[in-house]
Amino acid sequence: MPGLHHIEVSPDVLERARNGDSDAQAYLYRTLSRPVYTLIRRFVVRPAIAEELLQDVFVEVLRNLSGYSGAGPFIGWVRSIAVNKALMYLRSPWHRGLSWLGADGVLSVHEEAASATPDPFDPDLERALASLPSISRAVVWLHDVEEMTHAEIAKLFGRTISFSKSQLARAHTELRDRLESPSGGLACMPISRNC
Amino acid sequence: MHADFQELLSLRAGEPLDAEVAQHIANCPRCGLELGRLQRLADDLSQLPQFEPPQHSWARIQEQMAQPLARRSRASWIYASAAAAAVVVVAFGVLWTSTIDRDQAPAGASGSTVAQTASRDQSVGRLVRRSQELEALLNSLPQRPAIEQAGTSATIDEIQSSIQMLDAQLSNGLQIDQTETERMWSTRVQLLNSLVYVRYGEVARYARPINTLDTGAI
Repeated sequence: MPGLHHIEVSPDVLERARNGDSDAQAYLYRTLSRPVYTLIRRFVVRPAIAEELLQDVFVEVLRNLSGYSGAGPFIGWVRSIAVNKALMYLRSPWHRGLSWLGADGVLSVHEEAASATPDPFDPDLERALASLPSISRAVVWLHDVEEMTHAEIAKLFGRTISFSKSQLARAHTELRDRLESPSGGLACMPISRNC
Repeated sequence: MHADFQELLSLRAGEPLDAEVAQHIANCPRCGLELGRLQRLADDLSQLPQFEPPQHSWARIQEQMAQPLARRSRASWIYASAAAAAVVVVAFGVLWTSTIDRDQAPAGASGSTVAQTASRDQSVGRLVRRSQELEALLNSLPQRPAIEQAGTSATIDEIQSSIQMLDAQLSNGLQIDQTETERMWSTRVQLLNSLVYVRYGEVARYARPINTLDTGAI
């Protein structure tokens, strides 16, 4: 299960990590790094940028543990930090400029798919997902895998519920088209597109 | 008439749906098949493997934790650069517009090159002002409805993305020649015009009548 929402972290571990216990902090990283990194990779195609964002997320989480109120689920708090970091990157003129110039699309779908963990592996679905525009891919991931509601997604994106619904419908339409076309319709398709 | 994707997705998510549509889906083999396919797709997505973070990531996080504020990651620099670029765009636009307004006819200017440059400056100045007028018009429209047609929403998103893309290009304005700058501002005005039309149509469909809206100059 790649979603973050299935993970639970005990209050004891959180308390120890909050007090600077390095073992507890390392445990948090071991527990959360794969699903957080996976979530980021669903937003951001380039592994190097995703890695930087992963580090940013954990630095922010660990530095602000004392400020975490405990009012909501800890995992939801971590997830919102990860999503916000990824969105900040996608919205940046830097990213848009790279997309415009094509420099952010140098990875092919096949390279992207190949960078996923190989087993168990559905290359067609992985490629179809990777070929979606960033925001559509993020919305379908948050809704279908992270099981977030449209209202929650809309809040994260600062948009309307209709935006979330239309992005999800668009993503599913494109996924269906690409999965049902004989060749997958993905040959040489750049994976990074304007969002 | 068969259910559309949004209706099927709503049903899949257990959201409220028009009873007539829900009944149709329950009795329609084609819609039922599509609903099942959507459910399987969500299951398949959930089964995709996780990405493995690079092995050195934890060590780098610890380094950053040990050196508070001493080192910022490249991603952080990207955010900072983006913010700085945005400030530059705004400052440059304001400065440019005010300069053009103030220096419509430079004293002692002569020769075709100077005249062309001045003419182009004026043209860009007009386009910048037109952009500002259209943005003010957009800001004066009522807020977007909570529920709207997917096509309208997608169109608005596309236009806004294109405008943001242009803004990113214009953030490098000091390195772009005047002809290209003029072309980009012209495109920006056209996109804003399109956005006004789409938004006006949206408002007319979903909100109160706005008879007083002035679109004659668009």
